[in-house]
Amino acid sequence: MRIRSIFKFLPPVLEYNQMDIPVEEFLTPTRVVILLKDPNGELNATVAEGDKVKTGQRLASDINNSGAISSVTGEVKELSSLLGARGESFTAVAIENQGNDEWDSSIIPDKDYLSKPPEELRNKLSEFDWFLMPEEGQIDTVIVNAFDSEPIVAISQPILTENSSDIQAGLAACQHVFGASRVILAAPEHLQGLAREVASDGVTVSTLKPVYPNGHPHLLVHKVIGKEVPEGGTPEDIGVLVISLEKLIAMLRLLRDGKPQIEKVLTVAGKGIPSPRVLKVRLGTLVSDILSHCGVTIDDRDRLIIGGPMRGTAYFSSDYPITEHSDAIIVQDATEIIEVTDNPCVNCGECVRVCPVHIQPHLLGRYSEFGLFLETRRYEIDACIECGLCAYVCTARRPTLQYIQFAKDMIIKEEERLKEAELQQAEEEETIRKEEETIE
Amino acid sequence: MNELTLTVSSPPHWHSGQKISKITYGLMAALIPAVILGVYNYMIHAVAVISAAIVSAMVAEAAMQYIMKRPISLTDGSAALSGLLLALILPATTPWWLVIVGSMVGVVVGKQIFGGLGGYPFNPVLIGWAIIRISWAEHLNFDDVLVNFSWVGDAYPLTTLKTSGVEALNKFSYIDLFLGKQLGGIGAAATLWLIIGGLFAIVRGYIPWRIPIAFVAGVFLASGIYWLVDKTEYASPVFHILTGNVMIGAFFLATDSTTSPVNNWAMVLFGVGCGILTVIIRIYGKYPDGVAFAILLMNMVNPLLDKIRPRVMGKVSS
Repeated sequence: MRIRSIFKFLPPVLEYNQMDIPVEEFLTPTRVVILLKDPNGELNATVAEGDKVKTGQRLASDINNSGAISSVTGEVKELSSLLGARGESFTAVAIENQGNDEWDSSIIPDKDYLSKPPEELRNKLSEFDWFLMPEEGQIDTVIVNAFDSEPIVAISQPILTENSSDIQAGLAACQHVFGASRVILAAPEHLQGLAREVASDGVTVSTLKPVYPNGHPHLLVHKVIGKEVPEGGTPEDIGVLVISLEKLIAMLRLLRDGKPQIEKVLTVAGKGIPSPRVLKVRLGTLVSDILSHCGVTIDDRDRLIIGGPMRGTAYFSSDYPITEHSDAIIVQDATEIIEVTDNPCVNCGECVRVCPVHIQPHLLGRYSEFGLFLETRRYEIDACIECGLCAYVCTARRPTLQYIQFAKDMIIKEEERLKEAELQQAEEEETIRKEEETIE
Repeated sequence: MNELTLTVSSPPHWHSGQKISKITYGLMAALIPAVILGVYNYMIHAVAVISAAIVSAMVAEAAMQYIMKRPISLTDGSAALSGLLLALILPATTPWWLVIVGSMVGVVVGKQIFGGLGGYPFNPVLIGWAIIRISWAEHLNFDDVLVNFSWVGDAYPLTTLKTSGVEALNKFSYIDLFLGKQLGGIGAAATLWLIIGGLFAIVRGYIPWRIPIAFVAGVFLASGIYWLVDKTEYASPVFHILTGNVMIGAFFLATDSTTSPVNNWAMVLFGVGCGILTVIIRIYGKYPDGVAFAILLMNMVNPLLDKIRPRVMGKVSS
């Protein structure tokens, strides 16, 4: 997947995985763990230890956790607090799988969902936090993204092959649900045939080269319909909704069958796996269970990545559950890890030439390195789509993407501080003015 | 909970495998043809100058980093490359102490004072060269010091042009100049061999192609304009690109990544600017060759040139 010809003056090309890999099912884990967000560190589950839960049952009642549902039928074994890879705090609900699924009583199928008014359908979708529901009339174009999120990940092809009827129905529903005037299925060239099969009337198929990061929503919007997402914005800002194949299927099943998403297709690759494997698992299956199912052993100082190789997160433990964003599990042997350095930037310009949005990553990295966070605004830091190519090509092996992400975080903090200081100053001026008035 | 200690890091988790030392060693490999011709022409004298320059540059780098309590970075090869490049633009008869002075001044004043690789505003090789060229001019006058090497050539072409005018240039054949049979720096005069090395470096991605091409084109165009105005007063553009430091400057000195721009149009302007300044200094200046000073002058405007950057996708005009 890593391609760079001997003619190295050409920028490197990272291709998406084009292998057709059959899906293996691993749907009966002994336990699953569902994470509840608890920003304040308080337990906020509606279930307690020892409770029986059914498949599809909600585990929390608050708005932040509307997507937290049990993916198996069984018994709640433990509620514990868990630290995320980026320091977020979660409540982990561990559920022992009893084996056969019993769906929760709240799940009611609805065969003629297409005759319901769009508002009702959208309200149903917005009960779950997987969809950031756009407002009425906001969406003009829906782009269904048949690209994988990153290189190595190979889940789009099996999903397209296995769920063609659902995708067909989902594409047809898009127009109705979102009130969009056009629906586009964007697919990499090697999936063109499959895409044309599922595209029914009124759906345009648009193909692009299978080169990372063409599947990134912002670039997809630019290359497919020629519109640019404003810096720091989202495709919704310009009336475009980009939705992945898995989301499309989840949406359809929720509307038609009433069932929320409980399964996830993911790629397992890396150490101990000669060729990438594609697994269908329950949401909440522990990474350690999947790895032992695949016969992978992790050793000290290896790197465990959940997500793709360019944007995924390295975890410090394998006792983490799969979420709907976990497109891949990658294990890198300690010997194949290329470490980043604190070398100064040598101004070689590789990052500038490879950047898909034409920003100046080397300058952003340097500003961030020396704490000049607000200066990065002058070089359009908000236009960065965080594809990671700048750090991938960096000659000095600097963590360029990390510098950019750090600067983005610090800008938010700095602006809050400035705003506070401004308010304080205004208050002080006000008191001085009042004092002067009283003296007069 | 298992007790494994896993490696954590920020994404991306893949890397292209490129590193600084691959580029510096690759550039040294690209200079080998020119070094071989230099050693063939000047024998042990060339070997002595090249070794002295490389060793003293590395010693100066290590000493400075030791004094400044910074990590010693000799293995990245940048000091050795600086030493080699300095040697290749010096005459083979340069006294050993002068080579050491040039090399050390380049590394200490030109590079380490500014924080080492990535921090310096001017090409350290040319800083070292400019200081010894101005301070010990008599040792760097090619015609005087290379008088015993008549099998290489009998006069430095650019000095001949400066002192005797265009008619005197008839004694130089373009083929000889192209093949490197001319007086000059140890490697700088090896026009063809530098082109071969430079193309190798471009194909392998060690240097960007826009700067050298624009540099040579700039020299050719600027000297061509003068030549078209008055063919009896000004030398032909072919003569200009075949002589002096043009090739080594275009391929190896102007392309120093720290002191050259990164955006495509900025690189073109940088190269053309170097080329035009070279011709202007050659024609109006006190020194026969203007390449080194042209590059130093363009280094100065490098940050300004990099303001010319492509439009950012999604830029909101404010």
